[in-house]
Amino acid sequence: MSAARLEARNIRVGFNGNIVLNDVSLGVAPGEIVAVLGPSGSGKSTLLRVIAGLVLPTTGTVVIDDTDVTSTPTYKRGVGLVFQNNQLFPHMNVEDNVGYGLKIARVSAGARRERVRTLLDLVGMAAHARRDPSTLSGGEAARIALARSLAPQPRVLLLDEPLAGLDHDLRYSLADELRRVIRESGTTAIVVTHDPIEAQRIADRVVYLRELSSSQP
Amino acid sequence: MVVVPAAFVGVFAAWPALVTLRRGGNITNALTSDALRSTVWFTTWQAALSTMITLAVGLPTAWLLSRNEFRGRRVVRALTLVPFVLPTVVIGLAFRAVLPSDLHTGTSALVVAHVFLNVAVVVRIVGARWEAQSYFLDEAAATLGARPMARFATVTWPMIRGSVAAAGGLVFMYCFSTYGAARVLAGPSNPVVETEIYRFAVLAGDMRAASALAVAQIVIVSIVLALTSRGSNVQSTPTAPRGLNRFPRSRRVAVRIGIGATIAVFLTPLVGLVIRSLRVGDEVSFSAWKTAFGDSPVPTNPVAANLVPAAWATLSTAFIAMLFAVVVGVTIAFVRVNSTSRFVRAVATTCEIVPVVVSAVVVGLGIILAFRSGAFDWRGKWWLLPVAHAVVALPLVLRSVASALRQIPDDLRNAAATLGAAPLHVARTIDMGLLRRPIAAAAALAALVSVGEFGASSLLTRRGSETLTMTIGRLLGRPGDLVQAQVFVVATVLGLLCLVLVTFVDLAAAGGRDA
Repeated sequence: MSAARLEARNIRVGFNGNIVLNDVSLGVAPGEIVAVLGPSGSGKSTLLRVIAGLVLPTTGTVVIDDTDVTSTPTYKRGVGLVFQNNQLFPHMNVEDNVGYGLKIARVSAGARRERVRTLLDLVGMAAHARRDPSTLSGGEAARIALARSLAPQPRVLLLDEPLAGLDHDLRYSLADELRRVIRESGTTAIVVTHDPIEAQRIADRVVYLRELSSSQP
Repeated sequence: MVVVPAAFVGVFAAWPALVTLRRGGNITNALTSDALRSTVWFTTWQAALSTMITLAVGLPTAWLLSRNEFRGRRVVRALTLVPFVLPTVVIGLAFRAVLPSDLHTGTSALVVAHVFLNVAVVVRIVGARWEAQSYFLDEAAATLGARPMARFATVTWPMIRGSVAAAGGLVFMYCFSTYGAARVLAGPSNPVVETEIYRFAVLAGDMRAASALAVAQIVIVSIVLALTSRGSNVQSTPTAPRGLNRFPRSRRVAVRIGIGATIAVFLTPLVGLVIRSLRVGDEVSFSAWKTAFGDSPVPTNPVAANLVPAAWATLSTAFIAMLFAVVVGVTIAFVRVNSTSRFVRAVATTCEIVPVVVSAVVVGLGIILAFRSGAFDWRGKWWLLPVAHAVVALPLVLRSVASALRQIPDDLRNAAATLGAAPLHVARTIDMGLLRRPIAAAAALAALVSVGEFGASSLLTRRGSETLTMTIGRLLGRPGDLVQAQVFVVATVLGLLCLVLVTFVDLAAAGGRDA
């Protein structure tokens, strides 16, 4: 699937009277990797969830390749999301986790196996296809979560603090690897993080969430 | 340490069960007579049907209460659990109070009551598992292209199916071993195994037929529990239920309809029970309440209820049963959790399993059969009934105390040991210190079981010490509008007594969590 242009326009989200995102806009060019920086609780994850269709914005629109997808269900959007803590399916092994999206899309077993092998190669986990997710280290789980999200060839890839919880050295070496893998996949990507160094190592462009809000002073 | 409690379980649960098994021979005895065969067959299929409908109603209820946060969720959840803690005979009467008169007895009435009673099992077991499943897994599947049904089939179901099977097995066991609800609702043309054991043992004096049915009960329940008790071990990071404002309008509407339906379905029989106690014939009257409390004796009707002595007998029996159950249960729980000997742990586990497989009626029958001659002729002994109640309550006490015991971090004991505490001192100051509230909750649970116990009581109650459930049993089917209204008075009082005990269990358990 070719890389897509993404635009989030004037997104506003409130929960129980609290404004989480206030008039936030962000545009990402096809194939571009953008990092969104901001402190904890600033609404970075909520912005990703709005783009993925997991949260409905109070106002604002999400546009992918000139199509308004604001009310399109998550499963039809073609937007991949790497969750914080990875959220690997605990009842499936590594191979089944990575192949999940392909199975849902009814890709034949042979083609699925081939694609899973390619992706596991890409993230350096080819030897671990049969392992149970509970036996993976934090870095290994992050690689598998990335491979799983890339498998259905999403038009846009979102990464929510993908390296949170990893130690300092591993985080930066994995950040470089993340950039390489995303670049090779050619997909448009948004990474949210609170670490400026991590953001610069992964992304083509770094933006601060507060700068995306037109209502900010 | 385990010798005395193991001897208690051996003498009052395992030995009576073995005597019953020997007396009944093998299961084919139960299947040689047409009457016994049709009883076993009817009991099996009504239990299977009740289980299927309970799961069909219970799964959406579990979803409603574990995956959606709304105001009053805890109250609605508590309401769904109420039927399970009320004596089955009370629930049977509650349905008799609200069902049309042509449906007062029969298979439909029995199945409906079973569903009402056991939805709590599904809500509790499956709901707990469902609550433990992270929302993010479902969302991850959605971002990978899975539609709602595909997400349920590929992510949710594999994680909850073990708990669904376990809940289904337990529900089947409860429905197969039904006694109180069946005495009230099944009707004479639909005898179930437990009511037939009672009829053969007490009314017909045919111990061989009673034992043959008891064998069938033990064998079938054991097989079903063995097949369904393997729960799923899949774990995920739990997330709290989400507020309705996070969901689309269609889901909000579905949840609100579900809340309304749940409240209506669970409140109606309970309210109906109270209202029925105020109806004597076609008139609304307090006379059943007044006469039951002895304000105005009923000279023309010597069979009428006498609530105060029955309540006293119920509470004193419950108190003694509670003491037995707690002493034995806590000791076995300690041994089961802490012993390093595999043999001792196996003995402790057997002590837990035997009373689960052997139903209350079979406990009563076994005790009658086992202790009827020579120095062991204990028939008519006042302590036999509380002992039987303690056997019935034992698995609950044992499980709740063992579970609390497992939650005590080993490091607390190690810290005490490094400060010079010997093992017994550690057990007394650390374990018992932290277990005070769980033990209080388990004690109230044992009392609750005893207060509502009907099966073993039907076989073991002596003259002059009639409990509330036995008062209901005696008055069921007796003629007279006033007496019939009194049955509902006694059931209402019994229900309220159980709710007081459950509140105590909840308060003790909540205090334990806060501590």
